[in-house]
Amino acid sequence: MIRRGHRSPRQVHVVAFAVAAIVMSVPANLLPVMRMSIMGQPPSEPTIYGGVVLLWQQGLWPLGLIVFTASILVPLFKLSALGWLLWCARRRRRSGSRVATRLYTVINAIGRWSMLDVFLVAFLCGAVRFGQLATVQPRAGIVAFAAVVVCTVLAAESFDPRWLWNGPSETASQLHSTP
Amino acid sequence: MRFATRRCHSPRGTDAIGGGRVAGRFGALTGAGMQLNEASSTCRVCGQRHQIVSLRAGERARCVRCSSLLATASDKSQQHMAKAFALAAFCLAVPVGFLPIVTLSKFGDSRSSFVTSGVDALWAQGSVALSIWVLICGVAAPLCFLVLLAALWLPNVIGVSEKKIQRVYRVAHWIQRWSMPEVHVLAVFVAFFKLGDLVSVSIEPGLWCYAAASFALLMAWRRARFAAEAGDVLEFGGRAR
Repeated sequence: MIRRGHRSPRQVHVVAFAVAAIVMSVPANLLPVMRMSIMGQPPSEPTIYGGVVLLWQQGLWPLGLIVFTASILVPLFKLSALGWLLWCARRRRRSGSRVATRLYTVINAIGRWSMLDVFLVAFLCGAVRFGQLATVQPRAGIVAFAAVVVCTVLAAESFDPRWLWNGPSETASQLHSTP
Repeated sequence: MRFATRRCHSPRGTDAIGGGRVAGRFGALTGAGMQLNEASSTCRVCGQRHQIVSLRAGERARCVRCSSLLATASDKSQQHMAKAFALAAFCLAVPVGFLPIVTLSKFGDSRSSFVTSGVDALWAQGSVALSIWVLICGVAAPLCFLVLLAALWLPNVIGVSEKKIQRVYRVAHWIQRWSMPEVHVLAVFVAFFKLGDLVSVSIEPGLWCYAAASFALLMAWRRARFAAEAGDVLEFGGRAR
């Protein structure tokens, strides 16, 4: 969106945030996100994907699908779509710009839903507090995952949709600043 | 709620490169002799400059280049809806502060948790940054967003200038990106089903208030974000660069 009084973001900012998201997604997916200690069962430390599998095994496959979509598919989709949009901005042809603009709107809208897992872990930590009987503790994976979500949202925000129409130069973004 | 968009075609050859579609009341404009207003507006998506004309109630203004929505001339009922939703969100947000969201019971011991219980627990476990982030996304940003939307009432209550309201919209745009209470609500429902057999979970009224408040916020923002007072000037015929 138009920012007044700020320097226009540049493509390198988008790439920087995207690379940061990719880098942080490695620990986010490999490290466990929480530790559930329930009396009578061994403590489980699922990763994001492990949590999806657990939901699937419990028979709650719609929930597993929701968590899988929100936590794994959405960031992946956002990053690849941003890569495509950056490529679109650089090429000369403007024929696909309308589609690209729609895609940009979609990316902005779905970004927030990848925070689902973070809220899930936070809620479980806060709700399941029964001392020795049952506790849930956060692990490093969820912090890394929150960083991934933040980076993808910032990357999408840094992308200026005017690049799709005017080209990626900085002067192009500064066209027509209105009073 | 979709309103029909009025499209009028200006004669070809009058616009430079931008395309000849003009949405909105064409009125007395002619092709080559278009009276250009000084006031202009820029599409925030593609940078196309547009002039400002008045829209009739129910009309939508679309960018000639990228056809993204520029403004809607909401009739009075839509504006009332936006303000009503903002007020509803405000009223619903109050009980969220002191009503619990869910109550969990295991082995006869029951705990109630509130909206901020997760934040509290994360802080106690040592994840300070994460707890602050969840607080921002789930509570602080929605509250700020709510206050900003409630500021829509300001022109009714006290005389505030148009420029200041524009500023409110701008900040609201930015804050809206980080205010995600609906995701929090969905996460609670996912957890509700996930915990189903481990502990017995019962949903308290606080959750319904939180969900309703986030829904009302969403609805109010949808109606408010392109609000143009009827009678404003928003006209098209800009030239593409």
